[in-house]
Amino acid sequence: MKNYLLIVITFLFISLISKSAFAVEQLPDCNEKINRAIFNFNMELDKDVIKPIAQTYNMLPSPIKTGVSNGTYNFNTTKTAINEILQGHVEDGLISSSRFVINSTLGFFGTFDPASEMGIKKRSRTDFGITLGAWGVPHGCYAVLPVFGPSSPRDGLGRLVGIYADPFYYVIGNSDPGVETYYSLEALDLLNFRAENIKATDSLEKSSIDLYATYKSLFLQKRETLVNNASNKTSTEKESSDIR
Amino acid sequence: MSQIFRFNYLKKFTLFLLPFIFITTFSFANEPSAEAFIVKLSNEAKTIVNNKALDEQSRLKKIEELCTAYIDLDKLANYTLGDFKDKITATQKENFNKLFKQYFVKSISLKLNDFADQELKIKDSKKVSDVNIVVNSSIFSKKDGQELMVDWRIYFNGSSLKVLDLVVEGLSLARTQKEEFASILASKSFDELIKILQTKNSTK
Repeated sequence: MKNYLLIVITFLFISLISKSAFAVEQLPDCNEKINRAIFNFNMELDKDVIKPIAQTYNMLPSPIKTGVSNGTYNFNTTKTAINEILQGHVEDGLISSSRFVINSTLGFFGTFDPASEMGIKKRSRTDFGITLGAWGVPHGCYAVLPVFGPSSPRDGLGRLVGIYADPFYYVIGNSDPGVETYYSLEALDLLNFRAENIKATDSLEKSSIDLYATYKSLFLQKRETLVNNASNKTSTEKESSDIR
Repeated sequence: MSQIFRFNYLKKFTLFLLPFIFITTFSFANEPSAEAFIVKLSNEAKTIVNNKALDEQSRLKKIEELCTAYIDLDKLANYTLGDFKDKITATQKENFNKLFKQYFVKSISLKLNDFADQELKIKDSKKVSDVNIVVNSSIFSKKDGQELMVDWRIYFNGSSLKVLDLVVEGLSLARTQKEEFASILASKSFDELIKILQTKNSTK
């Protein structure tokens, strides 16, 4: 894990020091050749390893999958709550915190969702990359990370800070299960996501003519939307008249 | 693990066609004609999707007619070329538009197959300029209980309404397509893009 983190940090550093890293609003692809190579590696890894595991996981009974989905969502709620507060949405942060407390206790470690039944609605996840964006920090160069996929120096940094600033990391790390359990939960979260999206990604692969560019575009748009939401901005009106 | 792992939105994006399938309308009726337009489009799409008697070819034909009637495919094709549209001849543009249309219809047809249990509700609509209207809707999947926000960008061309773009949870269909084409135009050439579209259109 340490080696992996070192690679990620090095990669982010290279991206950060690239000439136009923080100079351009539109996210530049400063290291496209490397990014495409990593993208291809990720796709192969997915095809040979991850997707088959996800397909097997999908054979599990629905209640189990729902429990895993609830649990991994709950596991991320502490990160969401902290970032909501950092983005200035204190009330949202408190709501997320209350969901975490309720679901972690009454919901048997979050595998059930009694908070929703009480009317405390599920909220969109947010992270430190979004917080940095809401604070006005630009992406830097586009980067594809091994295993994790599309990212940027801002979001990569956000990912690292998100883990090490997560109280849950220390709670688990300092208890019997150890920090490996924390990373296992992260991996389970990714697996759950992959399993939920098999059909969607298959469809994208069928229709896309440059899958790398499609994923890049989707990543950028999604992060842009999340940052806009976090900053209470909207771009719908402007973009609606872009097509002429 | 691949890119898809960090893409909590991919599923949502791929669902961009869902509004074609089901519709239940509840409206604040800020732009009632635009809302009715979306309702009509969705109902017609639903009829095609649920018509099991159609063979693949007839189904494609019906979807093509639907797209032509409700979506401004020429404008969309122009937009996806970006600034490059000014660098090509009228004949090249015509050829591109024709291929784009086939590609678009085929993509839609592929995706429509996957989602048959969706329900669309019109939430709101507003005029954002003299000719542009945004209709906000939500799509609810009965199967997984998930709700997605979908914005329809529509414009009035003087005589009728036409869809220009769908934005699902912040992901624009038109912009994604434009960026995909831009990548090919930057790394290869316009001729290469044409070849890729031809190949894609001829692949089953």
